[in-house]
Amino acid sequence: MRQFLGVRVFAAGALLLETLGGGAQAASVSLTITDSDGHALADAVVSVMPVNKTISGPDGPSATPIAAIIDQRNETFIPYVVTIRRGGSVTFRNSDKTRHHVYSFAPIKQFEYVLKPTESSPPVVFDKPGIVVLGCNIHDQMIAYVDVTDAPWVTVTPASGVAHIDGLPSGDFVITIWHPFIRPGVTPPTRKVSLPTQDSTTAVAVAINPPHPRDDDSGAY
Amino acid sequence: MGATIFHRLLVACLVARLLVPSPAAAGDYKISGYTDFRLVYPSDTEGFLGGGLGKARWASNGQATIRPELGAVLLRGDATPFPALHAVVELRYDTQQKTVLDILDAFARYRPVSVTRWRWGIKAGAFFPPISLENSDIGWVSPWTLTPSAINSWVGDELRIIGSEAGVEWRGDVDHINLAGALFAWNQPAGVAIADRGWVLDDHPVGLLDHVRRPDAVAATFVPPGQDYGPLYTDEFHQVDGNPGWYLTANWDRPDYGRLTALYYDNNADPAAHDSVAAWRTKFWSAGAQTQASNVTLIAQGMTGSTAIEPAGVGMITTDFRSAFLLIGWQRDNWRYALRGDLFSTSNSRSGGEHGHAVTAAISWKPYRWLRLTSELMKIDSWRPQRQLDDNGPKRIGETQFQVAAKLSF
Repeated sequence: MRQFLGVRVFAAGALLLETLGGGAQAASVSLTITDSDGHALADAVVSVMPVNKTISGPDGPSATPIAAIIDQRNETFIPYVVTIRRGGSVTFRNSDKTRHHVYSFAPIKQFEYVLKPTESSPPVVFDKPGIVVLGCNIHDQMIAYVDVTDAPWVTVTPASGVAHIDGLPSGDFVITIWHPFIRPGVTPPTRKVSLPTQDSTTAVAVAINPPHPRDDDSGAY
Repeated sequence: MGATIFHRLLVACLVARLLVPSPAAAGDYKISGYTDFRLVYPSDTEGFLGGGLGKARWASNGQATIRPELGAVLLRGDATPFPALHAVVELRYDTQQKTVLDILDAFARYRPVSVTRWRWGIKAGAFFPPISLENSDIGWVSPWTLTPSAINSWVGDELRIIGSEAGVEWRGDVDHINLAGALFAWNQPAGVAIADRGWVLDDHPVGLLDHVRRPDAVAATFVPPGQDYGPLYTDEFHQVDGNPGWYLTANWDRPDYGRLTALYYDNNADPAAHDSVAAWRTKFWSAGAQTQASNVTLIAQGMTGSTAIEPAGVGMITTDFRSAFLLIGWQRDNWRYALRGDLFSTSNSRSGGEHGHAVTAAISWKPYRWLRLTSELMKIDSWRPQRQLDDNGPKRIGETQFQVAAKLSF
């Protein structure tokens, strides 16, 4: 029922990759996210928020995507998790040969579209921060998540579980990790990091619940 | 028997060969299904399908040898003519049913999309009542074992909701609650099998066109002593009086805990009513729980109820029945392992009822998307004094059934 999400934070200080506006020296962070068994965990949202909002705050420059596309393919939303900044939009596309729904009853955004094969929705604008769960009313097993955030730097881990965020200025930051499998009611893990800094390794553990694996042969009864 | 079996297996192979290469989906209509071949080592007691009082599907009446069998050929159609409507029909071919093709279920669900926390829907047609936490795969089979529990075997053998269910869901941030109720008809003989033969464990749910075989020990009571009698069957899907049956059910899902489910069923039949068949007043409580710890799944179900009949001049005859099981399943990559323990009993002042238990162990491997191989060992121990009426058989018997299945899906 419960596994633990191990988060190792490798803060690679003094990696002067590029400059952020104002000529500040840029650094990067690299995180490897695993479950308790050490397996890489995909689809974790890694958000970096400056403690001092004068560096870059919710209303300042942001490297977070302003738009995303979620495809419907093989009765699956792809990708499973996307992140966009507040005010950004998501376009939904049906690449299957069958009709799909996409809908949300999340408090921060309610909408629904029926998409015929090859059809796309208009861009859906998300103007409040939070998590939006998406479903298909025709195929109950189809689920996806949109993370709408004010954080200026965000990424979603690929299958390797490794997240790189570049272009960070010097300063103090809070890194937050969220994943759909985190146990309900549990506060997502956070780590503080000061950049630039020497290499450091940190581990955090939170309980998660992997969903039941779906059987290819399952039927709706 | 051998030639017949092999002839039918050949037909099944040809059907499967024709169907496997076909596309799985076209537009909003989908055809799927499987062919399930078996090698079985049967119970050595005459089974309930042959009029005996054994409790296994595959039986041999004292001559148990390994033999090939056809589990089933299952064809399922799914249709979504418009987004809120989903229709399902499942057809089955096998060698143990009255008709060549039978209908397991056929229903349509209307459920409009909702962008609030509430969502309602209705379902109409002929469908299984929402009791089983095992039978989630197409063809109403379990992903864990070949043979479902005693409870869900009985649900498959005697119960089908021919009517309509209305339900409402509440979808919270964490909790998900579902409430539903149904009205139904044409299932008033339900209860005859559990009263006459007791609990059985089998993966051959009775189709809508089929009937159930009653034990020869019961058939003998319908003729004068010493006279010959033939097989006695009862149609399950028949309405005798004007009373509709009903059930109410509630589910609670929470991802970190699992699922709880409860249901109360009453077919509301008049136990004194009869035409070509008798009505059995059957009512019961059913409850279940399911949870998951990493790759391990636990499923438990319980049921307690009664069925009653009141033949003219005889008075009320009531059979109380109860059963429970616990299943532990472990999935790792393409392998599944399952172990289940069943307890069951009935009590009847006339026949003496029964009690027993069963242990089922299964290993399943799915090397390809279209192929699943499963082996299952089941041991059933039961005490039933009615067996003394059947050639003075022993009250208590132990049965062992072993089978290997190759299931080709398309």
